Amino acid sequence: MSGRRLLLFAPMGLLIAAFTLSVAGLLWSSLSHGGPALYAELLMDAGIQRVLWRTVWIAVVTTAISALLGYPLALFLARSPNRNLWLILVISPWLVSIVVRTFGWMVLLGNRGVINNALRNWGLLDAPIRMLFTPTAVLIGLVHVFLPFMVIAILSSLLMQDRKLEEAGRILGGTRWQTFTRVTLPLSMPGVIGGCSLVLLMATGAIVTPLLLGGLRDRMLGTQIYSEIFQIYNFDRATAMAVLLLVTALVLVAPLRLLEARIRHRLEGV
Amino acid sequence: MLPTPTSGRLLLDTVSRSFGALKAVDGVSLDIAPGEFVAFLGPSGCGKTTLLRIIAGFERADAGSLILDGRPLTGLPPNKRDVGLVFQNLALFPHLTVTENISFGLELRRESAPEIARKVEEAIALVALQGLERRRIQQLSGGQKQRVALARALVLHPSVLLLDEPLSALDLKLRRQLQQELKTLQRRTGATFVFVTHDQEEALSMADRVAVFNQGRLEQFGTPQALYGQPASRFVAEFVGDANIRDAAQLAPFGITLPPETLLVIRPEDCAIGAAADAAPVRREGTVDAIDFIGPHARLRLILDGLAEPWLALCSGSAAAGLEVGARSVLGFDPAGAATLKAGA
Repeated sequence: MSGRRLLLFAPMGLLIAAFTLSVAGLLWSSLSHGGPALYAELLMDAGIQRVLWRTVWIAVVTTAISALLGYPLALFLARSPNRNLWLILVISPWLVSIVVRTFGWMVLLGNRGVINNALRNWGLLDAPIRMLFTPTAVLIGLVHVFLPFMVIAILSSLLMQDRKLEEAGRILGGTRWQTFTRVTLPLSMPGVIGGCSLVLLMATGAIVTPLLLGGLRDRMLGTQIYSEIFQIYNFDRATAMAVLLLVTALVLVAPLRLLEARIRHRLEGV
Repeated sequence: MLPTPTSGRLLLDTVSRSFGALKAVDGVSLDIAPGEFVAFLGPSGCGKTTLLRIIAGFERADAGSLILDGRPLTGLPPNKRDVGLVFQNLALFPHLTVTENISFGLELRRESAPEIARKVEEAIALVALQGLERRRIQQLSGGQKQRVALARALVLHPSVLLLDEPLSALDLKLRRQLQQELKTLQRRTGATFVFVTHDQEEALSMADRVAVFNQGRLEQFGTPQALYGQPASRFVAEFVGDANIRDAAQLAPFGITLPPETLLVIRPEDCAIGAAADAAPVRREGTVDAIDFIGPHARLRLILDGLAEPWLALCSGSAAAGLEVGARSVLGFDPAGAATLKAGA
């Protein structure tokens, strides 16, 4: 590697080094203070098991909903002549802090929130529906936060696609729908899977949204770690949970990465 | 597998299409016979590709009508037109194998599996791709991809197959070979072929009839011989082969009198040089301005005495032997054999 290329590699190398060191430090600290006993205790804890399960299903459902909502949106953007204008709207939530956005959902979803008040004023409800501090609220909040990532991942793979392939599908007798399912969709799968990995990873480690919208009962791993550190001051347990979170995220995302690699290999050839 | 040669009659009646102020296709009328091999020829931006896309159904016509075998095409989506298309970049499906690409259309028609297998095998044999059935598109050479694209379109037996400069990406040798193969394929399938190209040599050598386009308008539609021998306009005369196009004033020094508003088209190969010119009815001396040896022939440019416009002549290499730039020679031709044009055309 020449000196100049080494220079280009330096920032990334620094990031990789910092990341590796912090993960190694995390592992070391959890093993030296608590050791395997700490992990055993953690995994046997029924409360932690519930949190772990909740983390997994909320992350998976968030990813699925994001993909289902994100694909049509990405397709619309890819076909729109005013793509850039719409794209600004899609990513505009990023201009607002995640905490503020989540508070917005609290205002909407609360027992005396906008939605419940409106439904009651129209006489559709007698008592408020409980929405805030439920998994549903967490799902809504997470989808809102992560949807733009999904849209952009899918959009980029749609934009790379040759439009002539769709025309080929049409002239060979395909309806719009058939052409979509047999040409557009399969060819955009790398983008879909890439977006899913991204959202799955971020949703697994989410803290702010589950903390504010899920409340104290419906914790996820991220919130659990947060309270171990800031409320219980049990750093060893928090460290072990962080490792658990890391492993969970890897286990969830690894199959997707393998799938994406296989599909890319198929599409791009030898 | 020969389809009935009675299908594939394509009628275009004053078809027009504008993009803003640009008239991409301007009142084009054509009558293409069943089983005919037609080339759309013209410089880039002349509207030939837009017209092709209108026939395929990817562009709409602002005005005019298209009728295929008595069936109006207006308003029909591409998938209902019974028209095939080979794209300029081929547009093969990268996620499918050779076989899957070819069977794509048959599967959409929900034909039975054995039927699909039979037809795909037939199509693969037709384009000589045996042994490559399970290959991915990326594993094929340029010529092989070309054949897959043809097989994918032909397996559906469309009444009309449109080809949008499908050979333009290939090197010259492969191009010549595939031109021959295309011609053979067209005869064997009996389908009407509409071939878009900007290469006049390709158009003349392959097509039964050639439609020459310029700025969205159809300049001439005729056999290669007619196009070359009796060009309908100055554009056609200049675009199809080389030509010396002269008006009455430029021909007066030869002692030729032309009716007013008439131009004479003298092809370079009809010009004799040196001793060969002695037999020509009209002659004039001049100086050789440039000389190109192209295989057995030599292409000469001469400045004839007292005439401003240089003349192009094509003669055998032996006739040009001994000539060099600056040498004196004689150019002669027979005005009776030259085509005439209306000056405004």
